[in-house]
Amino acid sequence: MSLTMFDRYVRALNETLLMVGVSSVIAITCGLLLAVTLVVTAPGGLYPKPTFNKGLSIIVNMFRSVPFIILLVALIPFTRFVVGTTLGTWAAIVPLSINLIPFYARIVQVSLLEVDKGLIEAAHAMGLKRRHIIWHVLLAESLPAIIGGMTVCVVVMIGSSAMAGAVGAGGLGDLAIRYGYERYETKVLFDIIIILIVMVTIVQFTGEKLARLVDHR
Amino acid sequence: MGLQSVFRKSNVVLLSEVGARFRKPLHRAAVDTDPSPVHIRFEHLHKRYSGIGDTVALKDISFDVHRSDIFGIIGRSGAGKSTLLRSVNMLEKPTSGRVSIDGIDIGTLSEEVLVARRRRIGMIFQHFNLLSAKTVRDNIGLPLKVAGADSNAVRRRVDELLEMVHLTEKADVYPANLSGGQKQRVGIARALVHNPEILLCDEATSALDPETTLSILELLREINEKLKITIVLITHDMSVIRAVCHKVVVLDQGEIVEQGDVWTVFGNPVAEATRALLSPLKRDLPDDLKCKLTDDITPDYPARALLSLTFSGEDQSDGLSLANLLSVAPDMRLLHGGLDRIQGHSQGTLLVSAPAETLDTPALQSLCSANRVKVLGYVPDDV
Repeated sequence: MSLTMFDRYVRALNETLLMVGVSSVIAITCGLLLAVTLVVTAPGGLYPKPTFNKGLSIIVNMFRSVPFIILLVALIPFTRFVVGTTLGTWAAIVPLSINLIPFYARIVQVSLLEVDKGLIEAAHAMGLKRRHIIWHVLLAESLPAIIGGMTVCVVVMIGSSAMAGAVGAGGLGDLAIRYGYERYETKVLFDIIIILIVMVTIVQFTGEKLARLVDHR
Repeated sequence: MGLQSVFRKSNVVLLSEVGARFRKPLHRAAVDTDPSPVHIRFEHLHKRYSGIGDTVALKDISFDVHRSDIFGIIGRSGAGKSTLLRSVNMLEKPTSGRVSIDGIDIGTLSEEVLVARRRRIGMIFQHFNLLSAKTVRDNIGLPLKVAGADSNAVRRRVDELLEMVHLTEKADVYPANLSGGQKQRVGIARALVHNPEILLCDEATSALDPETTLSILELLREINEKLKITIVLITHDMSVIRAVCHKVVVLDQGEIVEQGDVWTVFGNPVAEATRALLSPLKRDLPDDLKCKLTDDITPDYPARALLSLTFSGEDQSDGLSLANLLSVAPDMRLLHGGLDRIQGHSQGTLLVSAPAETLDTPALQSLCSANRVKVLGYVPDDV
């Protein structure tokens, strides 16, 4: 049963969308939690835990210093533990997410730290509990930056997913390498580049629009 | 607790009717709700910031703030006034000493109790500190919402407050679209949402233009009069103190250098810091007169004595009779100066000139007995 080229494109696109979609949701959720943890446990934060904060920060840096393609291989035992296999789209989602969690966490951390200290002080003064301050002040005030960071995160994710072919996850990048590069089918290569450009443009455009929508500064 | 009771419709109307009258009335109605007049008591407060180079922000601060007073804390930047203000709601914990509100040491409260206590202490800020992501309505309602009030009650309360600060039509606008004065009004409404008994003002008018400053001060005065809220404000601007405060403390390098009724501090400043803070309000000898001023009379020319009449406010409740003044020196000319009436006391300095040869300085002195008459020098006859 031989697939037409068009079918291969559709399947690759679906795989990429699945990988990027699921990994983004995981990375963004965990990244947000990690960012908030980093900010509130910092010295002078809402729940200061300097030692814990330092340790967490070092772990984040460790993950950030490993190139994705190496992380992909290094995480194989963990991936097998989580999804039961080391091959295929779902197997790629694990390292993709883990790769992006610290990245997104750092982006959000910066924007949370930029929230005016005066606002936090005012929130204390009006009798807000600390968890209310996290929700109504820290997160609400940096929402435009959080959404802007999501855009960056998803775009990077689209790029990283190309490497997931290394664990047999398929996707557009994998198609481009196998057909476009290894079989010298230059047209496939260019087609895929164009599809990727369109995807990135849509993500970027939507992200910017959303960020503007919630930005009332 | 009757959130609505304090802001009935009638109150709101009354509040808005208080016009442009600016100085406070001579006699304040005594508050009879509590036997103890002391509302906030500071006892031997010390604050040290350790780090690179120990800095002492507050040194042995003790004073009382009475209920329903508008209490001013003034000082130059770095004097410690901000730290002092923040010790009232424990945004800054003192290194030692205590702050008590109604006799309760606020430094000993658990976090939960402190959060509840802070709801009874409103605070407004120099840079307003409104949440940019929330509308005016949501900004004002937030403290109630997080305290668990139901949304209808929040809405009603916010509407009352919007009416009080004259911002009803801005309810659904985001703070970015408001002017500075409007932002501060939102800040005030937010600070009052829990019906506090104390309002802390952190340089509340320092970022505003003079006209807006007056309107915000007027609003604070109305709030103080109608709601009997104790207001503690910090500022570096003596004119703010003059406009609204009853009592004042002057801080310099973390220490109290002067305190008392506003009129006494204005009329007879003792500390160097107080004088420096008052200097923008002082009317100094104008340059053109300074140029012409000589120490002695030149016999060849007719000369006039230049006198300064200083009123410290201690006895001039009826004012100074101009007729009496002229009976001493008929050709007296008013040149410069002004008097301010602070808490019913007229204070200020007038520069006058009178013919040198006919001037009876002792008679003039006796006329303005408690006040100071000083011969500054002599000027040519044409002044």
